[in-house]
Amino acid sequence: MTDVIDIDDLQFRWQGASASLLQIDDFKLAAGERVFLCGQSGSGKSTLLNLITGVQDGYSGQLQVLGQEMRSLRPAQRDSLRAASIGYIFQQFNLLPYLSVLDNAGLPCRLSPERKARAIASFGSVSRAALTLMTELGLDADCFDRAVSSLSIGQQQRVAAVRALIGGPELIIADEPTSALDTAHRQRFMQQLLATCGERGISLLFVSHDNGLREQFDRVVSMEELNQGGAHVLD
Amino acid sequence: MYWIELAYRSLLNRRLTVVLTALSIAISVMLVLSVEKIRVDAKSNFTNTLSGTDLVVGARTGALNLLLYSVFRIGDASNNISWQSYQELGGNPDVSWMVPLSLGDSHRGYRVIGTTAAYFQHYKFAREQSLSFSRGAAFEELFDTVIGSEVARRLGYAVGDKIALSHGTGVVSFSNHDDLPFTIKGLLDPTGTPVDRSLHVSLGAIEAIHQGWDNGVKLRGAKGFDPATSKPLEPEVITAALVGMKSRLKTFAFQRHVNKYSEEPLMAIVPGATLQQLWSMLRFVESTLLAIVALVACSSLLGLLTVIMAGLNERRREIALLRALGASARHVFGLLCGEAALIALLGSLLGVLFYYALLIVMSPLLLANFGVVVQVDVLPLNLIGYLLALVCFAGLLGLIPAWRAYRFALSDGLTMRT
Repeated sequence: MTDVIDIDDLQFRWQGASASLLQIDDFKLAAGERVFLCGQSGSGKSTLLNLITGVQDGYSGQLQVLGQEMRSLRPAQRDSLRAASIGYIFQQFNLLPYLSVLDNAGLPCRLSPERKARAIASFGSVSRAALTLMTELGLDADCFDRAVSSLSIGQQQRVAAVRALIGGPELIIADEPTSALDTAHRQRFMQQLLATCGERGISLLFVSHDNGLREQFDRVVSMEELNQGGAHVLD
Repeated sequence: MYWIELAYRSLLNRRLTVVLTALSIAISVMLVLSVEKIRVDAKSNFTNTLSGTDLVVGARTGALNLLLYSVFRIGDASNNISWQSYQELGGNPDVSWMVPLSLGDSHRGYRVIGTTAAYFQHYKFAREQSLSFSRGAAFEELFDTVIGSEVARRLGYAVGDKIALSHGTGVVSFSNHDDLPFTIKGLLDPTGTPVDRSLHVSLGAIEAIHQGWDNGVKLRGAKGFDPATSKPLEPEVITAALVGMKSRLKTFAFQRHVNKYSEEPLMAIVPGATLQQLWSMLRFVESTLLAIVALVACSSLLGLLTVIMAGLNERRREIALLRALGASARHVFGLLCGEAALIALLGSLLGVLFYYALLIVMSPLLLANFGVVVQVDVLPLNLIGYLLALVCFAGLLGLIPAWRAYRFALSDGLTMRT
């Protein structure tokens, strides 16, 4: 089975810059693997995530996502790969305020036919998929129809996790999703996210500098060790 | 495409800002259309002050001067036409009708015109529109007068009121013909021409009130006109005459005939041509209005740009989120561009609606208060062109924030600016 992410001798530098911002000799994320990626700001984290999601291009070396070399894809192909195969959770402000909770959760299925097909195959319908995942992540049924702005930050992050999970993407990238949560909520959120990913065999790349969370992961990778690039410049 | 629905929902979510922006565009579109309407109608009102008259005849002077005192009642005649010449010219077989004008008196700043009842039949304005009476009728008795709509409105006159005329044309006059009061016999409908500011009396009345006067001064001891005993008099001189030809083709031949008239120095002008000449001297009015139109349009477009740009920073998060969900940078570009064009379109349509509402409300008020005839008609082609250009330009301006958003989308990637 191909790795979800396969990096070999990846280099990235900004145009005109002399030193590489990123220099990663070898990094693999296997299918179903849950990896904790820690790193200070300025370690090249954001650039790496932008390269993996295909939002940034212009690297040299090898960067394969789901067996596809990102460099060889056209921008539109990278965009649809991202829509179909990657769920993304931000630190906060994950939800569109003009959509209901349920619509936010089901959004990837509206934008990607693959994820819609997979959600229907597993759950019968998109809304049933959303409801099932929301219950699994510990959201009360009474917040399904509420306005996004009336949810607590913890509830908003759960909805964001449901959105990342719906339609069974191969990879979920979570960029410090717990930093806005208090400790009690953080633990529960982590457990539920890890369990759901584990059950469905979804790979998780979890970025955080909160080392208290690392024990729960299959593997811990430090950005500082991973990145040989001279750049501990700001990114 | 669900992207379009998302864009629509996003727009709906910001409806207050969107509606306010569209309103500001609507108001400027309304202003642009109104100012342009005023420009076009002022020009046509002006050049249509006199129509249906083929020639204006007066003593030899400048063409503009003759037009100014005979039609616009501005300034004074330098010389007169003898009644004899007037009658002789009127006897020409090519002349269909002639209306004499005798100027020189006033009533509280409004000019008095001595003429015949034929004036009300032959004086035409705008598109060959005849004068009409809102009250009463043309003068019959010697001391009857017919007043224009502005005179009636400003001075609060009604049919049956008695007024005294003054010698000369100032607002305040010290030589009044107050021994011979006139009775208001008729009120004219508004025309948007100097007729609204005129009082009309018969030629005989002008002669009568000047009997016993010489050179504008009442002669001491001279016997004035006595309505009971004196007979109506024929005038010796008049100031100008309006001429209608039996055939338009004869106009220039008759004009030459007048210009070469051997008995006294006379001249004839074609009013339409001279009106055009006068308007071209007032070109600066037109260009000022055009400049206002252009500035108004600019300010509204700048407003649109400002609103979209100001909202852009707040929307960086939304842009990153949409990118994470699979939106391309081009989607982001199209989203912003489409929004700007849509707001501009919405604003323009609202503006046209406002314009017509304003026109329908204002046109009777304008006519009643300023005597300006404003027609409610279909948008002329050039205005539709302006509007389309405005919408297109607004759409193009939308490229600026769209380009910025596109740059954000590329440089921020999935980094959320919080």
